[in-house]
Amino acid sequence: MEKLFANVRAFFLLCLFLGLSHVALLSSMGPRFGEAMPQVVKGDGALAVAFGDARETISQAFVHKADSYFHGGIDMECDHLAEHGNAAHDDDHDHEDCHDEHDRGEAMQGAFDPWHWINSHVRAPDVHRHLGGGETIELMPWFWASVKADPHNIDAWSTTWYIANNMMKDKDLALRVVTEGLEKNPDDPELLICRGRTIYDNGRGEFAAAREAFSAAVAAAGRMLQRGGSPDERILKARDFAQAYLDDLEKKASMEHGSGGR
Amino acid sequence: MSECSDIVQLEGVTRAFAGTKAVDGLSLKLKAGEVMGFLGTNGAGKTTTIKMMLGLLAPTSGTVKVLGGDPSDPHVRAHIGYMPEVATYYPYLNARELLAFYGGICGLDAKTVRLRADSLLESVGLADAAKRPLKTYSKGMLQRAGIAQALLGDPDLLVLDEPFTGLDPLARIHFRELLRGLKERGKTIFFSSHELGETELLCDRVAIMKKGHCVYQGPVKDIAGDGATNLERLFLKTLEEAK
Amino acid sequence: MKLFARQVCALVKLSFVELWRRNDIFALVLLGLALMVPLSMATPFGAEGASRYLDEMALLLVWGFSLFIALGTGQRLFPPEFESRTIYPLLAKPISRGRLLVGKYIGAVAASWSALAFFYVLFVASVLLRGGTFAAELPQAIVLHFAFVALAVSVSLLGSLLVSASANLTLSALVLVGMFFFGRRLPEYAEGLNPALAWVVKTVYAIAPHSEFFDMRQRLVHGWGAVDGGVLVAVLAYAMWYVFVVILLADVVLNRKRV
Repeated sequence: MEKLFANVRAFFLLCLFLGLSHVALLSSMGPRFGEAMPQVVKGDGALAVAFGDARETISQAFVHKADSYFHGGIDMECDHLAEHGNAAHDDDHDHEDCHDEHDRGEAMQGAFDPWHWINSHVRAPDVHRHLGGGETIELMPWFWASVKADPHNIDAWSTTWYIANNMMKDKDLALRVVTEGLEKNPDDPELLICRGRTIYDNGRGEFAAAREAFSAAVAAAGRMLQRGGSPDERILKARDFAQAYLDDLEKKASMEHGSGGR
Repeated sequence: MSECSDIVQLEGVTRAFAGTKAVDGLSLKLKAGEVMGFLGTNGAGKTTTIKMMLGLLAPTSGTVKVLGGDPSDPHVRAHIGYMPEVATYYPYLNARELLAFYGGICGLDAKTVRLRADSLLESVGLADAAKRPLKTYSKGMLQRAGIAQALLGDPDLLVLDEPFTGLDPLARIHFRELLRGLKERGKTIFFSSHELGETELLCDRVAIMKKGHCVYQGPVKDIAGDGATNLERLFLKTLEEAK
Repeated sequence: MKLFARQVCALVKLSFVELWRRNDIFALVLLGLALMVPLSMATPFGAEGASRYLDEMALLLVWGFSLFIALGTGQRLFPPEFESRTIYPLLAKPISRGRLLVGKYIGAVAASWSALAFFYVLFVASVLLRGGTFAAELPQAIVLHFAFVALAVSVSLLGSLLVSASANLTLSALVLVGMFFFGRRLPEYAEGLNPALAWVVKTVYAIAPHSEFFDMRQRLVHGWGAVDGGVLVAVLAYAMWYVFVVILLADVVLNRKRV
């Protein structure tokens, strides 16, 4: 028993030592090496710094994991949620281009493969399904991990927002997500659109705030496009999308004005 | 036990490793109730011979019979007790658990093991340390635990490899008495040793090995006279002549 | 038979004592708690109610820990006996090498199973503490996990008789973990390779231990329902056949091994 306690104590001391060294290292890295290693300190938060250059890959892996959760635990080899998360994308998805465990390998193996037969029965459900209703909350931890790993993964932020806003219909949660995303990425047009859409959709008549968000998105997109180089398709799309919302708001405002004046 | 009076019978036994003969044409007989000392310099082939007697190694040529049978047969080994030179027994067990483990391997029931373990631990002087993990034991204590495990199955033949290694003077005396007691009970004992004094005090016969060959076999009483130095003189002389 | 039963009992007890007195399990449990407690207290974006990620992480830890225990236990069956020279008094007792091998294997599997059962008890307790419930497929998942542990011990045991401890642990872990994650994809990889490499990959696919067969974590976490009884029997038969072949090979190696 004494030995056990000695081991436990040693284990905790080791953890404490490693933890403190890690914190000390991280806190010293930021200010000192910020200029020399911008890629390391670009992401704020311990996880992002700890993951270093791998953070983008890790962040995407978490998004992929969330996607598999969306499909009830199946790896679909395509990220539908990320497509939804694109602020300028709203289509229902299908799986024509994707494969799951059932059909993987069947096309490849002519003869009966017992190993594949076992795998297709153990590692795949009998029916394809999507998370819905209250279960959608199960996606949140993976997106949370994704944006913690790379706070500049706009896809992850916007997909998280999409889940909260459109799937969970939780406007407060959606606003919390997008506000946090904008703190890390203050001028991102896509996140500004997300913010605007939540305010616009929540039915509380906060059109001025929504207009402000869409205007900011248009301005931010414009600034990004002015930076030179070939124009980013997503930014262009975001700008057009924000502009369309602005036009819609203008139309609404003028209709209200007109009906008020009559 | 075999009806044959020769407990151990080695005839023209040769064992080669990658062309090198560790034991070459060894013939040896050990009668029931006899105590034989097996002497030789390092690398003389003593341990290889012991391994063949225990069925751990098969001879390249020649025959090895122990208790009238083939020692590779587990039924034959059930009547052999063996103590290796220096073994670091399972560090997480205590002495009592060690004996319970070996008792189980010998097929003894729990009650018999308990009774024998108590008396054996007492006789090897480990009763007080019986509940201590073996990893806390000194070399001598491990040696005594080894003796206890060798005696656990109440064997007819006891094969000991360097049994006096690591024992302090008191433990040696104690162990010598233990072996004498076993001899009086009719047990056959075969041991290898570098301790010529102990060998002379205990043995009926000795065999001396050199480079795989048995260069001397004979009763101790033929050479005994004025103490341990006789065997020492014989040992040195035999080795010298065998050059 | 009685003799063999007593010998097996002694070897099982030895494996149990060694495993539980080494404190590895307690260190692993502490590590698991250090990871799981903060995770269970997390509320991503202030939203509460997610639990599947906790189940998945907990099951991943149970799998990782069980593999660690199984490989370690399998590895420690024979090499320490040779190093500490206890193999001599052991083989000098009335037990054949084959029986010793089987007895030791049974002991190692039983000890590893006890550790796995302990981990599952902790897993079940953690789920109950969170107010969760269990899917009907939990017993199936546990049975297959136990079968996996038996297979992992046998692979590690065979490796321990062939290569050094570090090489064995690395290779066994590589094979089992590699097959766990990529085993089912090997035919796909083989498609794009030249014929010689494709043959190698297909051979690996045919003979390497398919650890992924035993993984019902996703089924458990996402509530897919129980596996068809025939499939379960097929997987268990695969495990038994594989263990039988591996132990047979280990027996050949041990009998040829010079002591």
